[in-house]
Parts: sequence; structure tokens; C-alpha cells
Amino acid sequence: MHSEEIDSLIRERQKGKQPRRKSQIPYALALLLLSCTGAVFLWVFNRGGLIVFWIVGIALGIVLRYSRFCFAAAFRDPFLTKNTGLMRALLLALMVSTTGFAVIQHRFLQAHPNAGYDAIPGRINSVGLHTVLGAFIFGIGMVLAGGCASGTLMRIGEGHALPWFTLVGFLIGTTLGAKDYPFWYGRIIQGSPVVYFPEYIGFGAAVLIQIAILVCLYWLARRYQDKTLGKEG
Amino acid sequence: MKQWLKKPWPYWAGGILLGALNVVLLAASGSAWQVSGGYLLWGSGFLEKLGLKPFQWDYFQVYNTQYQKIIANHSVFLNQHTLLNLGVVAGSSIAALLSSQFKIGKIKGIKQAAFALLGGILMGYGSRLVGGCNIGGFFSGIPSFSLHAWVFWIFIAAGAWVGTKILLKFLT
Repeated sequence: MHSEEIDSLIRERQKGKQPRRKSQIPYALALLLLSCTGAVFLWVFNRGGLIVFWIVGIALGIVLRYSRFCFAAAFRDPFLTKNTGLMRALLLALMVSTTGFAVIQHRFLQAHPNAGYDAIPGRINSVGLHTVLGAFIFGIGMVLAGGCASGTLMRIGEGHALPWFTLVGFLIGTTLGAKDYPFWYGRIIQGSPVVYFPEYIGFGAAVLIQIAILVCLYWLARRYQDKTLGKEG
Repeated sequence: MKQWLKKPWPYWAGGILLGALNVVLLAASGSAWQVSGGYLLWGSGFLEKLGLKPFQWDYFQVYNTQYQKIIANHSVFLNQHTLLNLGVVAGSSIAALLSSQFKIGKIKGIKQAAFALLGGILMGYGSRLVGGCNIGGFFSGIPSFSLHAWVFWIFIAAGAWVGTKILLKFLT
């Protein structure tokens, strides 16, 4: 009760000081209408094939922005502020998607038992020194830029100017990386294996073990934050 | 109503929804969420406009199942990747406008802009080595049960640690 009263007092005072922001809701509705028109357009001219990407993309953007989700911060904050809130949210996301992907992949492989790694729904890549190097420089870049690949898109949507530089940098870097690919392919990637867990231990065990690991990591992240920031943090 | 629209959602709700949306996308379209594949097509598309021939690079031969159709259809700028990425921008704009927090930002200094550009270049190059960014390579890679995503996780965290050190050194 007491703190609520103080909060409302603070709010009262700020009302006088801050010029009240204009409501932007009409613009939001206009953009929503425009997006729906785009969806109808895609539906009519593309027979529904592309509309999924558009609609899910919009939903992803809304969720990213409303929950202030940021992958860069999820990886960075445990070091910088000792807060693991975003990391734990990321772990929850992975638990949900692990379960869903397992069902989709399992059904696909029952229908196509001899499918190659490229054809299995999802992302299955080779693992090796290139993964280590690539992830490491990606991690550095992500913190320097203050946002990852999806965060850049989200912050462009918010109206920021800075992520446009990150986007241009990303285009340059990723195109350069593709150009240099034969160099890395010949030296590292060519001999690197693809390790797809269900192939070795089956889907049931793969899902159970993976969920168990994610739950353990969640618990560790919670403990780490409690220990460094106290229970309140 | 307005207050309700302004209130941010908790992280855990965002996480669960993002995970669920990735499943929905995979179930409905057959491909998981990815971001940098679209960036690569745009970058290569620009080079082609400049008269170069990026689509003859070995990279596009190796990953031909992913890109062949798009390149053959000459839809380098308008394709599923572009729609997904533009959708994220549009969705973020809608959310920012709904909470009346959309704001055209300004660049605060050359150093900040240089960091943004350099960070982007590093991320871009790294994403080609791994075969995807933090979304395609990691966020969609872990639920795909591929070992590479776990290695990605360890070393993106190591990179983030080094990046934080660099950032703290330059900012203080």
C-alpha cells in the first residue's frame, strides 16, 4: 500500500514535468491494416505459400518488441549485470521449441526414413572448428553492435537509426563470408561431421535428455542470479 | 486500455511465445526461423546489380537446396526470407506504435556508429562460417537436435564475454 502511494505521487509529479506523449495508436491501426492488406495480396497472388512467413514474421516482431526480448542481452547480461532473466526466458523458448520440433521431425522421418540432413525440417549443420570460430566472432560482434540479427530488425522497426549501420555491416560481412567460403570449406568445413542426436539415441531419449539439460541450466541460471544479486534481483 | 497497451510483457512470456512461433512456422512452412539467409541474398543481390556474379560463388552451390529456387526465380529481393524479416520490422513497429513509443532516433556519435557497423560485419562473417546467425544457427538449431548449436552456444557466450570486456574498455 505504502509504496503504491509513493509510486502514484511520483507519477503525479512527472505528469507536470514531462510533455505528454501523443497517442500513436491510430498509426498502429493504420499499419496493422496495411499489413493485413499485404497478407491478402500474398494470399491472392501466391496461393498461400508466402503468407505464412509474413504473418509469423509480424507476430515475431510484436512479441520481440512487447517483451523487450534481446538475444544479445540474454548472452551478455549474465556477465554484465548478473541478471539471467532473459537467459531463462531463452531456455523456456528452447524447451517449447524442442518439444514441437521433435514431433515435426519425427513425423517427417517416419514418412521419409532415408531423408538427408538438408531435407529434415529445422537446421542441422556440420560441427567443427568453423562453428567455434564463427560463434566466437559472432558473439563479439553482437555485443559491440548492441543487438543480434533479429534485434537489429526489431530496433529498426522501433524507429532507431543506429541499427541501420548494423544491418549494412551485416550485409557486408555475410556476403564477404560467402565469398570466402571455399577457403574455410577446404580447410575446416569439408572434414567436419554432422551430429544429429536422434540418429544415435532415438527421438524419445534425445527429447528427454535435452529438456533435462535445459531445465538444469534454468535452475543454474536462477541460482547464479540469486547468489550474485540476492533473492530480490 | 492505453495503460494495458503500454505495459511490457514479462520475459518468460516472450520466450514461450517465440519458441511456439518457431514451431508454428516450421509446421506450416517446413522451414524454421532464420534471419541471416535473407541478408545474404540481399547483399549478393546488390553485388549482382553492380555487375558482379555472386551467385556463381561456391557457397551457393554447397547450399543449393536452400537458395537454388529463389535464385532461379530471380526473387533475390522478394522471397520468404525477405517477408519474414520485413514482417519482424513491421510487427515491431506495430507494437511500438500501439504503446505510443515509436521514436525516430538520431545517431549520437561517430564512435557509436562505427561500433554498430563493425559489430554487424563481425556477426555477418561469423554467421557464414557457422551456417546461420543466432536465430537460424542457434535458436532453430538447438530444437533441431544438432550438436553444432550447442557448440555455437558455448562460443557465442565466450564471444559475448570478450565483447563486453572490449566495450567496457572503450566506454570507460
